[in-house]
Amino acid sequence: MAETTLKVKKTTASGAETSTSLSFLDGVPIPESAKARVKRDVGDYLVEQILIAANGADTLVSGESMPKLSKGYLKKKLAEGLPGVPNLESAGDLLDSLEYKTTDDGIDLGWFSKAEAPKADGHANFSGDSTLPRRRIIPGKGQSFDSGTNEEIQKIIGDAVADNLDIKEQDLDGVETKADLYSVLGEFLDGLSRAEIKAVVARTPGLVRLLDDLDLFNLL
Amino acid sequence: MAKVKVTARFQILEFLDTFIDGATAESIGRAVVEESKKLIATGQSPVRGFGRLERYKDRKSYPGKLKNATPVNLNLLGDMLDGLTFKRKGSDIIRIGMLGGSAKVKEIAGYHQDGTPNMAARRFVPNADGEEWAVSIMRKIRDLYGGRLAKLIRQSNKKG
Repeated sequence: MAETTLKVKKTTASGAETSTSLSFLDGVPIPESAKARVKRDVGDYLVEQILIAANGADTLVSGESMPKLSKGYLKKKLAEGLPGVPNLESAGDLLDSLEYKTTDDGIDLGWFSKAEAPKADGHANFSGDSTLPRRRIIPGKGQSFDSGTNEEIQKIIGDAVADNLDIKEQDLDGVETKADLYSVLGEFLDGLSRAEIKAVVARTPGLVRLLDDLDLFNLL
Repeated sequence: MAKVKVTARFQILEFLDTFIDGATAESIGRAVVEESKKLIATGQSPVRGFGRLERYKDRKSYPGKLKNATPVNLNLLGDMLDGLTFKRKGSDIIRIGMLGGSAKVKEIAGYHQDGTPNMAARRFVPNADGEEWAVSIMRKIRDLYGGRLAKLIRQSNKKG
């Protein structure tokens, strides 16, 4: 299975939209219905994890940080009963409005309303016009997410590819030895070592079921 | 006081139940509870599609001015989230939800889960048809299934 990469294709800062366009399904050999599921899984996963990071005054964007609040703003937030950390929460509207839209090969991630997009660009500064300290929680051009987040996205895509392998019972006819089994699985999982094939099978319930039904699980 | 039940019954994939042992089922229950609390603490519902929890109408009405305006994290004294836990039944059934805490805490949890005419629903357990856990939680579950299966394959290789 070819390694896929998550790329920022472009960013938008239009006043009605502050977003980053992420591509991660170009050339991935799965049906459109599976791609649609992957886009939703990656989109929801990123929103969930970005909000967890922001709550801890952190960002998942590699190389970015969340500068401390100015003394004046810190005082204001504390007076309002808010945590005194740069978590991008004041009224809460900005983080409530972080969302994604699916595209041909990935998602557009960001803010898509006139009320929130300018505020979001104030923090992300995709326009280059902001004078605020930069607190960027979605990646800009040439940037990516941290390694843990990227790895999880790769796993979501890899699991979808494995779930959609078209291995049928008759493909495994005549398999009697470990060598036979890895020969067949290797045809579907081109270029993977035996250890990698085992790892793919272990994470793929459909393959486990097929091999178990045929009493071949113990040959792995 | 109305009897309130806020739990989800979670069944290990049927064909995998011969592979999943009690320890793995415990790990799944623990992971779901931990990840749910992590999402709730950041103002998110652990139920997919419910997004951020709706703002409190009047946080100043809560005792001791203990409520932050944001994030909405269902946390005042901590007793409701302490009650969010799991119990394993055999190796293939896990119940997750408000299994701990007092009757009063369970009652309040029920109001959060389903909402009332005066209170927004802030769903924290998927217990209706078609509902599922948030993606971050489902990914943890898949990791745990995969880890268990990988271990069985290694054990089988050692014997072979």
